[in-house]
Amino acid sequence: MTKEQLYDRIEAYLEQQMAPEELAAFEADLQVSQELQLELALHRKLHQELAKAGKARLREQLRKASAEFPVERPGRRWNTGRWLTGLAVAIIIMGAAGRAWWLSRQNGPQESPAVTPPAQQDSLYRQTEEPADTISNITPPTEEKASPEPEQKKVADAFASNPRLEALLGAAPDTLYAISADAGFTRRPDGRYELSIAGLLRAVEAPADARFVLRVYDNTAGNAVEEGPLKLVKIEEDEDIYAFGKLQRFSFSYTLKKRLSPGTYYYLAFKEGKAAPLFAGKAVLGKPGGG
Amino acid sequence: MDQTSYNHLDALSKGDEKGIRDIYMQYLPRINKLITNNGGTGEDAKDVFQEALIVIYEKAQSPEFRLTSSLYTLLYGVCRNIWGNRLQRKSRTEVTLESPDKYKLSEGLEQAIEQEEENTIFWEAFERLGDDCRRLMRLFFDKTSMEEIAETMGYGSTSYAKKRKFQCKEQLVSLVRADSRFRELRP
Repeated sequence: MTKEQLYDRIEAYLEQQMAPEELAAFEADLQVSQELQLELALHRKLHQELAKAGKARLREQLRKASAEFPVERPGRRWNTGRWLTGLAVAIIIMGAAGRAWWLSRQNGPQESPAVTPPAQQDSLYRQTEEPADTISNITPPTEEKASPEPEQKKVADAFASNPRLEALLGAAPDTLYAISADAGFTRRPDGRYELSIAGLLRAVEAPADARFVLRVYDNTAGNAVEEGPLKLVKIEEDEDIYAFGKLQRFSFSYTLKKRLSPGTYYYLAFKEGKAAPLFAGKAVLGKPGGG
Repeated sequence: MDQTSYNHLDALSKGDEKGIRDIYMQYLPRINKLITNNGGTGEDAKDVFQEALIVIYEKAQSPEFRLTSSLYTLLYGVCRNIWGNRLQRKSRTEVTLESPDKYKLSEGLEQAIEQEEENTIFWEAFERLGDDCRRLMRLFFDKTSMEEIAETMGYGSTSYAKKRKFQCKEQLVSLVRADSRFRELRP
């Protein structure tokens, strides 16, 4: 008997599709063959378990949901004391004196309004009168003036990195907030991608009315491909008492409404009204021969 | 049971995508902390989290199932137990995770966890099959006739569909047997 015939026989037995004489012969074989007993037990278990269509769907959904959520990578583990130490140093340095300096900058004659109008926030390279630590400051004014063409036309390759956005990658916690985030994406049948960003926000005594936004740019760094609010969900437990108050944790996720063509994208998280991002990340969607 | 727990359990039972995403958003960071504080990685945390949700989903299918705590308390208890079992298998010595009473599980749940650890071997083998075999075997386990399988899969004939079904099932059986966690099942 070939293995294929053995499988057919076992399946006919499990599905109760054997004629009486076949059944009698099979049961007689079972009595004397431990090998057949083991094979039958394995196939029975396979059929019982993998026939659970609802469970199959759930596993697939969990797998997709899981891919959207970042795991904390070695070297970026927020639970270690390293982040707290870094933040402690930042707070000590930028404590009361830093705050006074910050306020003086916001009120100074060369400053932009405390809340940047959305139209000004759209372009990363717009030369506004923003504070010195805003992202637009990365572009020297002369460089932009020298170029009569829009930035979008310079980047022909959708997968090319944008050096200015690359320079922002990673977290840039300020005195009150720090964000870590990762991107997950799913290829749709039309070849475009659904992109989701998920992450954690750490805050020291965060004001209840603080709002955060996410902006996603393609590698031309023109207008944002999409902008949306980051809805924070407070993680109730594990608040650490920390230098000047409690360290609070929030999780967030944002799925873009737009489907994206393959290419390199950058996602930046901002506190609403601030021009400097708290976090910048990068997602490469569908690179041929790569990720 | 509080309303959030009810909504999340309902989302899990119905396979509601948005609700499941919310479950990840609300609970995964805390489970991540539990696992990474006890010798695991972020990937371990996701894996344990998924297995725990499946255990709860399976239990919730039973009409007798009643959630007597918040979903998070149950989830945390199940994750602790799963991770404890995995650490135990890796270690030669007794592994004890600190266990507040509220996270103690019923005997039925502990058995369900052990059962799911065995079931996972079959699902992981299934998920390792190629796309074609996975689709075919899904139809096969859904008791689709060979004629329909041949048509749906675009095979030229029923006999080829049967041949392919055997090849795929053989792969599946081999993957299960190759898994170091697999012990031959007794009838």
